[in-house]
Amino acid sequence: MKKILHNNLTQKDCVWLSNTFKVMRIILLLLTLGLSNIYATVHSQSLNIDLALKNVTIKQAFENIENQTNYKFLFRSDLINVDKSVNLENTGTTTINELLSKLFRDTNIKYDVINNNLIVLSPLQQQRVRGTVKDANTGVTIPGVTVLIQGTTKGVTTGADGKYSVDIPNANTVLVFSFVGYLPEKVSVAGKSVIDVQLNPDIKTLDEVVVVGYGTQKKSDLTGSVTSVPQSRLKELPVTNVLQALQGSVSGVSVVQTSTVPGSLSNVIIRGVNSISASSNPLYVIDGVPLMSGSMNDINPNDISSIEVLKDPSSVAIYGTRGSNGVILISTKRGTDGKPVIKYSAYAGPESMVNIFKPMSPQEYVRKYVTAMKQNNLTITDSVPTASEKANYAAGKTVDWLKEVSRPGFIQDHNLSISGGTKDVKYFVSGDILSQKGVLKGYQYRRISFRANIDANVTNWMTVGTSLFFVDNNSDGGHVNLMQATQMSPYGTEYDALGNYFMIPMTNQTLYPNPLLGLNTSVTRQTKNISGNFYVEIKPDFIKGLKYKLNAGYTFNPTYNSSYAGRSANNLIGSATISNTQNYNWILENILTYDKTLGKHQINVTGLYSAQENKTLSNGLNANTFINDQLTLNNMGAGAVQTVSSGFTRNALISQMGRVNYSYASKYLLTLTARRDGYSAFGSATLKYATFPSVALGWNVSNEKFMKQFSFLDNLKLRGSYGKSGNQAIQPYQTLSTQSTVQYVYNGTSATGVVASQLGNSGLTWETTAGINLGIDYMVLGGRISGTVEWYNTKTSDLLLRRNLPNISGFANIMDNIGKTQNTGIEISLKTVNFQTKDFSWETNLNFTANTNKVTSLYGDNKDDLGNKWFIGKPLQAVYDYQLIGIWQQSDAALMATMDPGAKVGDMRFKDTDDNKIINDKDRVYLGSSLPKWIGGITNTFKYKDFRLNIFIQTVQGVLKGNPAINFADQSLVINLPESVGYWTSTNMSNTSQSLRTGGNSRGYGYPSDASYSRIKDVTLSYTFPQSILDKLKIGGLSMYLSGRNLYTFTKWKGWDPENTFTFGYTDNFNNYPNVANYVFGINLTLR
Amino acid sequence: MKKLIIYFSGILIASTLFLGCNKSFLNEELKSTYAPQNTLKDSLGFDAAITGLIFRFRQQWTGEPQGLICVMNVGTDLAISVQPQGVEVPYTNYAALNSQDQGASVYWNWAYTVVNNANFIINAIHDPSNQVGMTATYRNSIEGEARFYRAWAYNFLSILYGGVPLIDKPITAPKTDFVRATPTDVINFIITDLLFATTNCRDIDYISNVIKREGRVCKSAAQQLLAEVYIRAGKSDLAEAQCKNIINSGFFQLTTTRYGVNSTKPGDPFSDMFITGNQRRRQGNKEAIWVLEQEYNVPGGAIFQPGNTTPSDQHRRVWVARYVDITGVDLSDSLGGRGLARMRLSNWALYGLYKPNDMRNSRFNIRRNFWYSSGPKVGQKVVPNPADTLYKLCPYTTKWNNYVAADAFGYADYKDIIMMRLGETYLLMAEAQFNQNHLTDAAATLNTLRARSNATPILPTDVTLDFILDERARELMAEENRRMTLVRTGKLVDRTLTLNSSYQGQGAGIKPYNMLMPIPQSEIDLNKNATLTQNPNY
Repeated sequence: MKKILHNNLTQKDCVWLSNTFKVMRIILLLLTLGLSNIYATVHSQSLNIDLALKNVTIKQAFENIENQTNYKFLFRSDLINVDKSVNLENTGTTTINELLSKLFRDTNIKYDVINNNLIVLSPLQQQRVRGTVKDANTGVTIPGVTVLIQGTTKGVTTGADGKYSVDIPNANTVLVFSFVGYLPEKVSVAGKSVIDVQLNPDIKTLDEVVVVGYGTQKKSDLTGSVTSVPQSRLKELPVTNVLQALQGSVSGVSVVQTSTVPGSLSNVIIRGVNSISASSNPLYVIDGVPLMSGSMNDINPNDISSIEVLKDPSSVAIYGTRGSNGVILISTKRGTDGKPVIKYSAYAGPESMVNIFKPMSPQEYVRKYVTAMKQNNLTITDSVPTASEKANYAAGKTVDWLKEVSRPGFIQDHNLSISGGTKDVKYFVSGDILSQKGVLKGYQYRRISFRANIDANVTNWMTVGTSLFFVDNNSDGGHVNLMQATQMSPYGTEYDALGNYFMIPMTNQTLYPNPLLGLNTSVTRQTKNISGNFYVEIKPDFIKGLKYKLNAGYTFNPTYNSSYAGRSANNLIGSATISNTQNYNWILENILTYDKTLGKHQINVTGLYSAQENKTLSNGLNANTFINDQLTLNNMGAGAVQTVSSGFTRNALISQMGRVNYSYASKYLLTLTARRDGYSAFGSATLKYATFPSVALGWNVSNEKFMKQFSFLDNLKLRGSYGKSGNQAIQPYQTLSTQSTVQYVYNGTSATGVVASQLGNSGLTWETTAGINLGIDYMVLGGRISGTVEWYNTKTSDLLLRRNLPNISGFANIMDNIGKTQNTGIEISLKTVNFQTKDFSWETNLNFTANTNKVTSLYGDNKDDLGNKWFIGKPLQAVYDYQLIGIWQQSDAALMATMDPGAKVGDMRFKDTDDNKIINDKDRVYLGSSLPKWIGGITNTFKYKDFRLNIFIQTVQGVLKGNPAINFADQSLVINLPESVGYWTSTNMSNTSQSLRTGGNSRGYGYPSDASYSRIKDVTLSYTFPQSILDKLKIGGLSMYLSGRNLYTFTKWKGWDPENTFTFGYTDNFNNYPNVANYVFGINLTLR
Repeated sequence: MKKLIIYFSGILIASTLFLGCNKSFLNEELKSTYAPQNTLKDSLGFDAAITGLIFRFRQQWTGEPQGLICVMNVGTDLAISVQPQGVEVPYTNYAALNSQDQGASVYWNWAYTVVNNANFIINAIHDPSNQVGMTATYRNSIEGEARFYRAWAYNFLSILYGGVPLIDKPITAPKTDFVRATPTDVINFIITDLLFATTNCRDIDYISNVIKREGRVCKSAAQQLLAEVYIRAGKSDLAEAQCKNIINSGFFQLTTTRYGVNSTKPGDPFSDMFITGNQRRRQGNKEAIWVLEQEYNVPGGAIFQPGNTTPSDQHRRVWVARYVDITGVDLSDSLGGRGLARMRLSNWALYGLYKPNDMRNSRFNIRRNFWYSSGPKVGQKVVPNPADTLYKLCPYTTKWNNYVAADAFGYADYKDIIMMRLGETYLLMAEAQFNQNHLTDAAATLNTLRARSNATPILPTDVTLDFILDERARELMAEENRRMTLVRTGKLVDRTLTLNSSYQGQGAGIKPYNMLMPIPQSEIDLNKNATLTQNPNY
């Protein structure tokens, strides 16, 4: 509008000017208004002029022109430098405008021809435009908006008050205003000096394209449940694999990190556990290729561009026998055309133990020992049990074993990537090194990875590309034993006189050697993954919309583990072991797609034919009895006793899949899919093939005309789907009865024997999950509130179950297709912009998942399976046990003698649930499940100017787990115990902890405890340097952050961590590791 | 170019389609695992299956948990529990013995695993397609051996649990409707198996000299087991006959002179039998009828596995005193390696059982005294603190002494396990004769055995069942499963209460129903299509 007004005014001015000839007034006017638009009105006319001037001053040129024509020049000599030299060629017939434009081409002089013969000169000023940027809906100013001069890389950003001012090169300049979450706005300067802009929120994220199985789809066209992982979870977090970042951030996805050992992986369960014995892990698909070997450690989080989680039966149905546990699609970064972008990202920082489960202090240890002796009716001769402790006790010498086995940890990651390309060839290459020094001595993880993703348009109808990566995972190192460190007597002896580790700290309690001895072993744990995916995509020009893609993937995944323990590690003969596993996996996929739009009808058809094969070869070498420890692993032939092993497994899969997507006017959406899979591990006596169909419908309600009246509603979509998918995740060869080999000796010489090892089930088939999903996607108030609510109900039948058999059979169990489970759940994700001002904004992302799992049928006879702890109508992972109601006290001894005659005062008192006045196995009841009732995550993001603060809290509720940490009594005479557990004595008469009597848990009570927790999982404070500063430094982008992880845990659990699985027992368990908190400083630098 | 690429793609598509059409692509073939249908085909396969069966059988003593051996000895007349590992606790405090008992469950599972492996062999050898290249004599000897192990397992089960489900064929599909057979049916089933075994098993000379695999079961072993089962069946005359068959076979003789690795060192003939390296027939032991072999650090013997106490024999751990806890008494060969004294012989066994001069009570057979081997008092006799006599310096049988310097910790036991010897044959024969009221014969039989140990002869009027059980303790302590003997003879409750219930009330709570172990609750729970009746009071 302003523009039109301005033009009118100019017209008037011109008219007015043309009628007036007053030089002084004109100059005045020109100087005040600026000369910008006036030249447009000059009528060009031809003139003949002969100018051939080399290295003349402008002044000389003026004189020449004035001599040959009737034009006169008018200017202020203080503003116009007429001494500058110019070059003019021979011109001949020309117009005055052409002539003048040549003359002033390289000057800052602006000219105007007035009244056909007066040439007015003025200095060409660099113009300045200023203004304020506001949100179109709220009117709130927006800081940090990029204001760019179109066609250049020059620009500024709005300040804290939303204001900007920018120098423009000429009046034709177009300014581009852009800001994340808003639609970019282009404004032509057109002579204005003040340009206020209102930006509209970009609620068209619905046009975002998301990756789905075998292709991509517009988010608005989705019919299934496909959740994208927020981008904020993919960066600025010190995680060693992406699953750790996923935890709590996506509804419907439960990530449990059972061990925090550097380099360890998490368990992922999508929408509850369907299966009992077969794997519950989702299918991972990396750049379109299903991952059949390797682990998520092999995918460098820095290389990931997006992650989508497919959850409902229809979206996963196209993965057939591998879909029922959900599918996680990971796309890695690829090149884009343009100048190369070089990115360096790094973080580093310390790690420390959290949730420390402290052993008893020296004083408490002695008190405990004396009490235990008394409670076991043993005569106390000393305050501590063993000889070496006595000396230390007398000398008051103690060892803090937890301190001795631990150290400050450190984590660092460095990543360098270069991407770029031309229109036809694009590349993304990256290299990364991650190193984590564990908080326990000897633990470490180091990963080196490289990736090269290349796409090339060979012709206009053919594209080829590769995704190649190499990963070297290394967890080498002998390590300390945490469990034993907590069990060591504080009066134990750590070092001998020579400063070496003392073998048996509590001599002669030889069962408990020094927990640091592992540091004297040499251990390697190495896994590499070499993967190459290649594709050819052909779009024949004779059928528009048709596309054929051939995907070929190959993975080589070798693992090398070895260890040597010799005399210095309390192994008096020296033992060496090496094991190699080589996994080969290939896949070939033919994908045909066809897209067609006919008016409002849009159709997309996908077809697939694929084959996949996976082979594993393994071998192992063992040797012992070496002359000395010099050679360690390097000459196993030197061991007097040598044994070897090897193995081979193979599985193969053939699949066909078809899918039709149809949409009408972007309002009504339909997806039909069917997949047929044949799997080698099934059907030695039945069919090997299974077919999995699905249907899904969607309705974009907000696209209907009648919805236009509800202007607050930006988007409303209803979705529903039904589908079937399968689970084949069992080991191969389960259909066959097998024998394992054993060895025996005759006259001292080895002989090989065979023993029955597996009862095969020739009728094995895949388990099937069928179910329904209903969902609503909504967005209101200009994107201030958006989210999704989904409800699902899936039923899994023909469970692949390692079903326990009566041992009378001679076999403990058999793999079978029995039983049914059901998962019903609700998932809510909500994103709100709570607060937004010019400097400050606050955004909340919340997700909530409640899943109810239950076994609906077992053997078809409506009976529970007590032996396996499967109960009809109850969740899996049931806790079925006695109900602890207290401790038998002396005052109840008479009652105890009749109710629980085997018990002693100080033992656990259980509830007589069947009220028959006697405690027996009938009193066990269902107490709960280790599967959480609900999980959730909440992310709050605060932005202030260039600072961003991200706080992520994760919660897991309603978990009941057996707690082995409390079950100590049988070793209480010998070892140290956890400080916080406590025990009964005749004087303190605890009503929660039992006495230290050996055998005091004759019923095998599992100490079920509440393992629910909430965790401040991570907090990240980052600062992004303003572009204006970076431009001066010629840097494309720079941000720095501080990030802390596992900052605090709220839980009632007694133990190292409610989430971790901690194994008790005196043998070494690699996975026993404390939870760690880390604090890192990170930097992301982009060069252009 | 374009044509070439289309052509190339066509080949790729065709190749994947071809893979799909190739039926064998989805077939499964066992390439690194044996299966019954390919091993139980010829003599090598059947020999391997017998070897596997012995391996499974030996696991009664080489599996977890460590305290399992104690279950067979504590809560009887023989031993008390002093350093319980855990599993044996309900057998000292019988009121706590319930259907979820770990020991009852482990033993049950073990026995049925043996039955299953035997059934595979018995079933396969009857299939004519598996009989190529094997003589009938060979086949019958294999079947006899397998039936022997099956009989042993059912005898074990029926003594400990009463009537149990009888399985005589390999299970090929899940089965959950097992029912208990009557004790009589089980005993008759065992007798049928053993009659086959006594007819068809080879004699020990053939096994030693022709097969050269001494650990294999010989005819005499089957006869000895049959003798015990005949006694159970009330057919003591037949039992006596089986014992006589063994004694008269001429293959075996009581050890009356020194022999073997330590024969020139201090000792006596009885102790020679229990020195590591003296158990096997070819090592000079002519009394042994059946020996389970072990060997230090040989695959199949007992591999030295630091940090891993299983699977390995734990006899030494549970029997040998924990003398290493005494400063100045060091780990040594003569003291028998590292023991934990999970149990200690009862005062009755230590102080009331033997008369003077009984060789079986010599210092070589029961260690009662200790000497300092280091420190200021080196060479002096240890005067124990009374509290230390409970497990640190308690007297113990030396039958399980075993020491290998390289495995000072003693992860495993590397000594052979004597399963049957002629000494026991005399005891069974005496029992059979006593049952027939042939007291003179019984006294003569017992005196033959006692003479070897310089024990004074007894008179026919001295022979009672209790005397025979005393004599079994004197001769077989820590060798036999004492609990089984007492249950078999019906004397468990009586003898436990009278002879061994004074220490901390251990065993004092035993009730007549404790003669039988509980049927494992998990078996009852899993057997959902039929009722597996629990033994009374559990």
